[in-house]
Amino acid sequence: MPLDLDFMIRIFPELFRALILTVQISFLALLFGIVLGILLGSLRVIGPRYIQIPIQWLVNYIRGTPQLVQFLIVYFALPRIGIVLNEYWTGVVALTVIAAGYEVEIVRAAIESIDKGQKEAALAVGMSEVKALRLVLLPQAMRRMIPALTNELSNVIKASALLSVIAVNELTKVGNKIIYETFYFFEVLIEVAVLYLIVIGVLGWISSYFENKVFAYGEAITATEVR
Amino acid sequence: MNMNGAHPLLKVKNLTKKFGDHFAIKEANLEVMRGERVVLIGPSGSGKSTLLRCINYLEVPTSGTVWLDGEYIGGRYNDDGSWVKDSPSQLTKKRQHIGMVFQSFNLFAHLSALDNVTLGPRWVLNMPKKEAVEIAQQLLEKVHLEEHSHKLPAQLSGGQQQRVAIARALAMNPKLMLFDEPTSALDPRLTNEVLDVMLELAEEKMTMIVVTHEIGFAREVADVVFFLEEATIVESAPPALLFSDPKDERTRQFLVDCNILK
Repeated sequence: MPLDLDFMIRIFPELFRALILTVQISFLALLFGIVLGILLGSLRVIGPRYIQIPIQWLVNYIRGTPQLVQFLIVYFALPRIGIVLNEYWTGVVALTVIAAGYEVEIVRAAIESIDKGQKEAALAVGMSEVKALRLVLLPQAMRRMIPALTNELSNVIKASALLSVIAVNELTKVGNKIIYETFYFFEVLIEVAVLYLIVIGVLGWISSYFENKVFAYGEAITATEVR
Repeated sequence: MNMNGAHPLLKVKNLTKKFGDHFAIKEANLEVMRGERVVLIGPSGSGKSTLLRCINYLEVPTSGTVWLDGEYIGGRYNDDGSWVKDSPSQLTKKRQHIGMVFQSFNLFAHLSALDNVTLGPRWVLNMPKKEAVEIAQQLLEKVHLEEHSHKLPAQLSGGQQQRVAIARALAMNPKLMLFDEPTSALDPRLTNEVLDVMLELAEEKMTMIVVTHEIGFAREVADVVFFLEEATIVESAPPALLFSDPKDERTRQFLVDCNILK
């Protein structure tokens, strides 16, 4: 079946607007998610137990329940506790919770993977645990987090497709709408898929730039590898 | 002993560290005078490193006390004689007075040699950047690395890394320096680079406790050598005496095994 290219070009502006919205919401969620993830992930490592345990609950909840259910819970629960947001911000909050939930574990694992001699050296210089984390461990953990974070970030963009259930006019929802109006399902779905691919491709490119250029320093030489 | 009257700087009393049921160090007693150079020797697993790491509370002792220049590390005695543990921030503050050099260097991997040295003064002592950099440059000069100050640890040889680590510890102006097998990871040439720097420090009367297998260094530098075996301090004596005529049979056997005594 040949594709109707004219039709694909005609619907592009509408899909593109939806794509922009998808990217905006995902980007905000990623941003808040990373900040929250680093904060909670750090607390997960050095915080007192009464903070660590609720964080672990959050992680278990995010990992153990379907994203669709999580979205609906945010959508229906926020108004019940008096927080009324439009679809846009509801989407951002819902995606942020998901992003943060996974990022907590990524951050924790990255911090704990740093050689324990680094922390000991920081303590021996007279730093507190918090300073050791901020000045020595996190800067080194950051680079190790990037591949796992990219993976997670592309998951967040893909999860944004589920926001269609809470009436956010993101890419998948708009694509669906066009399909129901025109029955050109093949053209629409291919175009939607390609748009997602482009966004996630760009993200991967940005991530490897950060990994190789911004955080490019050698790993510590361990005692056994002395030149 | 110190020539201008003996002032103890460090007193370790009945220090014991257990890991599970296993004694890493048992009832260790140790007194170090200001300006004194102490070397701990003994076979691997005899508790030398654990004893050292208990002094700055990187390992928290199971029992016993560490007293440094007027205050206990890790806690204090109340007027009624009861022991109160230090809060994390109190302990952190006391640790600043003790410099430590590790077997595996542990330079901050993401920072240049210079930044490794300035990090403590800037963020712990809140020194202005300019002043911290000046001090760091002086110290890097002292360890003969002024030309490498911009390099990352991965770009330095092991000997150079260890000398940066010494400069980093000195930057906090410590009362006491602890060296935990500082040359065990280095080849003989790099070992000498590091020992030369430590020798210079010793000549400046820096109070130091060195865990090492370098008997030559102990002989040359130490005021007192402690021999440890099986988690116990077996004996201590000036190196000339200990290496020629040890009192304890276990010390003698160790020195014979090391080809130091016939």
